[in-house]
Amino acid sequence: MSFFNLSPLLVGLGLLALAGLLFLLQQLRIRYTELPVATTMFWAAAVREAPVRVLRQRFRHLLAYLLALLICWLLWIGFGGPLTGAQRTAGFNVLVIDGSAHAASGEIFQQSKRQLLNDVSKYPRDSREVFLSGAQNVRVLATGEEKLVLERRLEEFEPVAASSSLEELLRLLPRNNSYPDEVNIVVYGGAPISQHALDRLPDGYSVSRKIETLDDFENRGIVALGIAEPLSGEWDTVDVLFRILATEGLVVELDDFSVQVGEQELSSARLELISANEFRVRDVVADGSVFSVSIEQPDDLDFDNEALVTLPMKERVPIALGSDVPTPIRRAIDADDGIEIVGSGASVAILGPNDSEPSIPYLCSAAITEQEKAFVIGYTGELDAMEALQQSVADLGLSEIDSAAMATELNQEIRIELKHSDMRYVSVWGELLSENFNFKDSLSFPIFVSKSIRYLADQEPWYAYLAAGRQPVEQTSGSSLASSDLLAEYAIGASYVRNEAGTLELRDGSSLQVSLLDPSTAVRASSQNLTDAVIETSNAQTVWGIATWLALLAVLLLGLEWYLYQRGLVP
Amino acid sequence: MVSLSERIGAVMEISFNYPLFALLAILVPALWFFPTRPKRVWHGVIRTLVFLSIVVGLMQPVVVSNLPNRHYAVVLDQSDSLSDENKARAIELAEDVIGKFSGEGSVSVVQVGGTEKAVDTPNFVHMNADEKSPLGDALEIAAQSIPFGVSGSVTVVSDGLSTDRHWGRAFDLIREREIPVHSISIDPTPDVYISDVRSTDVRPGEMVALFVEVIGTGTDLSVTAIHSDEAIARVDDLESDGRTTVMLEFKADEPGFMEVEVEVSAPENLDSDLTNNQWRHVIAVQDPIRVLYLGNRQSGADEPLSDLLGVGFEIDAPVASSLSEDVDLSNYDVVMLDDAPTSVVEESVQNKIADAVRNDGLGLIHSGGEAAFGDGGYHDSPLTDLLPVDIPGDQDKIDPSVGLAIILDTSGSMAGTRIELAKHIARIAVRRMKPHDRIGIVEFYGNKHWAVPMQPATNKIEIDRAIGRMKAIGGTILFPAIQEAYYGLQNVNTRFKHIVLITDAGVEDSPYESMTRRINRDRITVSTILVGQGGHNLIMSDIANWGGGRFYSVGNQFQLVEMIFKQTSTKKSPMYKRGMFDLETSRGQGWWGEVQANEVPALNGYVEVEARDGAEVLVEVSDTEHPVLATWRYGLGRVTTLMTEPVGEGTRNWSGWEEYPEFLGRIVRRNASFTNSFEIDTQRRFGKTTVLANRVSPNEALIPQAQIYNLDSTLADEEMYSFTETAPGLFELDMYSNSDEDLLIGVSAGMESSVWRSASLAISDEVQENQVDPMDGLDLVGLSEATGGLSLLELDDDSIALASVSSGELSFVVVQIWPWLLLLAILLYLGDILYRRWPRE
Repeated sequence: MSFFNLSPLLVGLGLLALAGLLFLLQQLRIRYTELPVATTMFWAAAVREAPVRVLRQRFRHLLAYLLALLICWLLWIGFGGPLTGAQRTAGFNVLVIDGSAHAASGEIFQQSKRQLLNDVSKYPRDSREVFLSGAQNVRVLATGEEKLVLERRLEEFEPVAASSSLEELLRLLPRNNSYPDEVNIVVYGGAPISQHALDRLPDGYSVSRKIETLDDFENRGIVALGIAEPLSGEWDTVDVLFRILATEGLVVELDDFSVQVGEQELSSARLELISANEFRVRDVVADGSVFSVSIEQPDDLDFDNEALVTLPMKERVPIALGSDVPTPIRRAIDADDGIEIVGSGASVAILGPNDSEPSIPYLCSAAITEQEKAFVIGYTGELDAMEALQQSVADLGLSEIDSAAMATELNQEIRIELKHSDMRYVSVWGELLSENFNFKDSLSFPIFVSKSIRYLADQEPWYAYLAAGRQPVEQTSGSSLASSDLLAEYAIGASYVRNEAGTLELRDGSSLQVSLLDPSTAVRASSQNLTDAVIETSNAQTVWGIATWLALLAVLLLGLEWYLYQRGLVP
Repeated sequence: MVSLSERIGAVMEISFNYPLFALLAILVPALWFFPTRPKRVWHGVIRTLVFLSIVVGLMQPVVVSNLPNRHYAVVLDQSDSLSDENKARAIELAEDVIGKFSGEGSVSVVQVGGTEKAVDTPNFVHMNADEKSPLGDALEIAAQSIPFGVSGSVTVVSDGLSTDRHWGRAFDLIREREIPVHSISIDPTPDVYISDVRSTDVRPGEMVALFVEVIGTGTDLSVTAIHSDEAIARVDDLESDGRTTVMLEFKADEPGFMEVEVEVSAPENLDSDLTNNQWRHVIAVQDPIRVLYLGNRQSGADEPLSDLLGVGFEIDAPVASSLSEDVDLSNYDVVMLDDAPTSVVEESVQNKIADAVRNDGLGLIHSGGEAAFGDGGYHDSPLTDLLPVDIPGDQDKIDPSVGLAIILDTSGSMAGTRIELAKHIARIAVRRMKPHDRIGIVEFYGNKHWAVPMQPATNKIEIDRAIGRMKAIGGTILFPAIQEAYYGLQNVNTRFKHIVLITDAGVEDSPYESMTRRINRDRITVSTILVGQGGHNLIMSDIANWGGGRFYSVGNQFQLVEMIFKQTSTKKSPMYKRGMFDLETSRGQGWWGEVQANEVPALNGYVEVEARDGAEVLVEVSDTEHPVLATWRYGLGRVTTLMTEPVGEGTRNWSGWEEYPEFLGRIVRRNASFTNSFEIDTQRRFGKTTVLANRVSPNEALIPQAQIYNLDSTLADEEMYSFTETAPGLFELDMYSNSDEDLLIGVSAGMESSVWRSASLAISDEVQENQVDPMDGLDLVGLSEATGGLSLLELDDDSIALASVSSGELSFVVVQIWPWLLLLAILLYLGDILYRRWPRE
C-alpha cells in the first residue's frame, strides 16, 4: 500500500502509536459517575468499581478499546492518503489532453477534460504530470502540483487550429531521463498517433487512449492549397491547386465552397476540375493578395473550412544597363520577361567592364586578376541571413561548369565569396562569360543572372504553401538567392512554420497566411494502434477516493460510539 | 524567495472539492439530542468538533493563493564538443547562476551530455541524447519545466553547437510563453574536422564533385575519399583559415548508391580530436544515359558505339523506319540520328523529337556522312530549325549557282569545223548560265590566256563576242590551262564548280591524273568534250574520270544542247568531303574535360555545312573552317551536330585516338537532359523524411512514386509509396525510418520510367557531436535578443538582476487542508476519550 501524504513506515508507526495511546487511555480510571444502588449488597462492588484517588486501573472493555482504535486508525490512514490499486500504477504517469483541431469537434475536448480531471487525482502527485497538446506541448500540471491547479489552467482553454503535437511529445519524453524506466502515457482525445511514433518509444513506455473521436463525424475540409510557377510561363502569374476532402457519405460540389482572390470572388468558370475533389486555377495574377478557399456548408469542424495562401508579389525588376554589358548577360536579361530595362528609376544596375560603381545594387564582371574568387557577393544584412545565401549560391547548379577543367585551365578553384558591403552587388569573373567557357550556354547561367538580379532587387522568397507545423517549401527558383529567409529568421535560422493556423507576423512587420491543411484532421482516421487506458473509472462522474470512504466510515463509527456511550454501554 | 509580506499580501481563496458533504453537518444536532442529551456540555462540544472536522475534511477544502512564484530553468551543456576545461567552466558558471537564482525562486537544470550529474540540484534532468547535443529539445524541456503560467526564464550555458537544427518548436514555445532566454556562451574547442560533405548528381562514368567542408585552422591538411577500401581521390597541402571547402573529383561507377568515406588529416598539433576526421557519405548515382540510336547507313554502328561509350550509356537501337509517332521519348535522354535520312525517319517521329527537345529538354545529336544533313534530306525537315548548322538543300537543286571554267583549245589542230564546234559548245554553255552563275573561258594555243576572265554571267553579249574572236592558231599545251582554270575557280563561291575542257585531244604529256584528282577533291568536276572526229579520246576519258566528270564526244552540232544540259543539272557536288582533314578545336572547355583538345587527329571525311549564328563550333576543319562539331541550346534541350560518322568511314583515323571514347562520351553526356521529370529534394527531421518531388516536365500526367532501396541498390521492399500533390506539380511524401538510419529513395514516374535516386542521410539531419559546423549551430546571442533575454558575459549581481522573467498569470500555490482536518479529528477524539476518562472529584 502507498500513501500520498506519508510514507508507509510513518503510517505504520502512527498506527502503533495510536494503539498504545488508546491502551493507556483505556486504563485511566473512569470519572465518577452517580450510580443509584438498589441495595447495600452492592456497595462493596460499587466501591471496588470506582475507587477513590486511583488514576490507573486494569485494562478492561476490550471491545470499546477496539472501537476507539478503529476510529483512530481510519482517520490516521485517511490522513496518510491511501492509494487504490488503480492509483498505484507502476512507474510514472504522463497524462496528455489533446487540444489540437482534432479535439475541436463537438464535445470531445470537454469530455476529455472532465475525464482527465476525474482521473488525475487517482495518480500519486509525485508520479504524474499532465500535458496539454495543442499547437505546442505545454505541461499544465507538474509533478507534485494539485489537481485544482490543473482545473484552473484548463479553465479558459479551447482547442486551437493546430495539427496534433502528440507525436512530437512522444519523441521528446524519452529524452528526459528523470522519468523511471516505466512510463505510462494516457491520451485524452482522438489525435492520431502513427505506428512509427509508437515504434520508436523505448522499452517501458506504453501509450493508451481514453477518449476516442466522434463516431458520426461529418466534415468537409480543405487539405491542400498551394501555388506554383504557371505552366503557361507567364512571369506575373501563378497556378493554384486546392483539394477538399469529405468524410464518407459526403460529396464536394461547387456550391459547397467559394474562392476569393483578395476581395474579389473567383468565377467558378475558372476552376479546372482535376478529380472529384481537386481543383486547379491557372494564371492567377501574383499581386501579393491572399487567395482563399472557404467551405460554406456547416459541418463538424470549422478549422478546416477556410484555407489561405499569400500570393507572391511578382513585379518586373527595373534595371539599368551599362555600356558594353557582356552579350551572354544581355541575352539572359532579354529572355527574362520579369526584368525590364528602364532609363531611370532602376533598382539594379548591370555594368559593363568600363562602367563605374553606381549608387544602386549592381551586377558586374571582373577580371580574374582583379578578383580572387569566381563569384563575389556583397551583402548588407546580418551574417545569419547570408549563411543561407551562401548555401543557395553553392546550390545554383554551378556543376554545369566543368569546374575541374576550369581549375586546371585557370589554376583557380571556382569559389564563392561573401563580403559585407554598404550595398549589394554580385561580381563574376569575366572569363566565365567569355567564349572559352560554356557557363554562358549552360542552363544555370540564365538562372544565375535571374536570381542575382532578384537578389539585388531584394525580392522576397515565396512559398508553395504554409501549413501549420510543416516545414516550408520554397517553390520558386527565383527566390533561393533572396537576401533573407524571413521564416528562417523567425526561428533563429531554423526552417519552421509555427503549428497554428492564422496570420504569421514576421519580424519585419509583414505577414504570411498559415492554414491548417492536415488531412488527418479533416477526415478522421481510426487509431486502432492504441490500447484503451487501464484506468478503472470510465464514466465522467466524480468518484470518491479511498480517504473519503475511510472518513465516511469513521463518521459512522463515531456516531455509533457516541450512541453506545450515551447509553452507557461503553465507558 | 517569497517574502513574508508577499505571502501576506497574496490573495487567498478557499475552495472545496466535494462541498456536498456539508449536508452531513445537519446531523450535528443528533449528537446533542439522540439518544439523550450529553451529560456534560464540554463533552458534547468536543464530540461536535470531532464530527465537524471530519465533515469539513470530507468536503476536501484547499487554500489557493496567487503567490508570485518563479522558476528558473538552466540548460547546462556538458557535451563532448567542449573541452574538459570548458566543461568545468560551464559547470562553474551554471552553479553560479543556480546559486544566484535559487534565492529568487525554484531552479531546475537540464544537462546535455556528460556521464555524471554535473550539478547538485533536486530538479535535475539529464537528457538521453545518444552522445549528441539536441539544444532545441533541451530548450523545450527547460521551458516545460517552468510550470504553466509561472514566471520564469531559461538560461543556456553552452557552445551553441547543436547537433541538429530543429529548435523551431522550442523557440515557438518560448516565444509564445514569453520566456526570456539568457545565454552564456562557451567557446568551442579549436580542432580540425569535417562538418559536411555534399555531392553533385551524377551518372555512371561521370565525374562526381564531392564538396567537403573542413572546419579548423591549419596548413598541410589533406582530404581523401575512400571507396571500397581504396583511395579514389585526394587533395593535399591544403590551408584552412577557420573553414575551407575542398572539392574532390572521381568517376562514378555503377548506377545505384555509392558509399564513400571522406577523411581529413592534419598535423597532430592542430588536431586535438581524431574521432571527427571522418565522414560517411552516400552518392546517388543515377541510371545510365539512355540513348535512342537511329542509324541506317552505317549498319550495326550501335554496337561499336556502345563499346566505345562504355557503362555510362544505355543504347537502344530500333530500326529507324519501324518507329511511329507513338514512340515514348520520355524514356530517353538523348536521341542520336546517325546517318539516318529523313526517308527512314517518319515525319511524325521527327516532329515528336523536335517537340521533346524544345519542351522536355531532350538532347539531340545529329551525325553522319552521306545519309545525313542535306544529303539525308534534313535541309527541309521538322528538325532543320533545331540544328546549329545551315544545310544547303532544295534551293540549290532548283537553282544551283554554277562556276564554269571553259578551257577551249585554239591550237592549230582545231582549225576549221572543230573550232567552230567548240565555239558553239561554249556559246550554248554561256546561254545556259544564270546571272548568279560565273563563267570564264581559258584558251590555250601554246600559251594560256583568259579569253573571258571569270565573271558573272550577266554580260552574255560581250562573252559571246570574246568567243567569236577566238582563232585556231599555235601549239597545244593543255596543262597550264587546266591549272589556270582551277585557280580561277578557287576564288569563286558557287554551289557547283565545273571545268569543261573542249579540245580535239592533241595534247602534250603532263601529270594530268594528279592534277585532276586534286581539282576534284576540291569539289570541282572536270569534264572533257572531244570535238571533231578521230581524236585521242582515251586521254580525254581518263581526265574526265579522274576529275569526277564525264567525257563527251561531239561529232557534229546536233548533239550540243543535250550534252551541256546533262553536264550542269545532274552533276551536283556532294556535301560529304573525303580526304584527310586536319582539325582545329576551340572553346567550350566543358566539352573537353581531360581530353587534350590540341591532339585531335585528322578526319577522313565530313559533311560541309555552315555554322549558324549563335552556334558554338567546337571542332572545325583547319583549312576551310567548316564546322565538324557544333552545338547550341534549343528550347529546353541541347542539339549538337557532328558532321561525320561517329563510327564509320569519316572517323576511321580516330580509331587509334585513345581519348576518342572519352570525347564522344562527353558529347553525348553534355547533350543528355539531366533533368528528371521531377526535381527531388528531401527534408528530414528526427527520422521523418519528407520527400519533395517537383514536376519540371510540362506533362501533367506524370505522377511520382517512390521505393526504398538498400545500400547495394536492391529494393528494400516491394512497396510503392504514393505522393500527395500539395501545389501544382509539387508532390510530397512522408516516410519514416529510425533517426540514425539512412533512407535511400528511388523516385519514378511509373513502373516503366527510369528511377531517380536520392539519399536522405541520417547525418544530414543530426551530425555527430564533435562535427557540428559552427555556422549551423544555435545562435545563442540571437536567441537571447529574440526572446528578450540577456547575453550574460559577466555573472555579477547587476546582470542577474537585469535577467528578466516571464510574467506568470497562473502562478498560484494550492494547499490541501483536508488531511490536516482528519489529523485534527484524531486529536480531538483522543481529547474526547481523555476528557471522559480523566478522574475527577
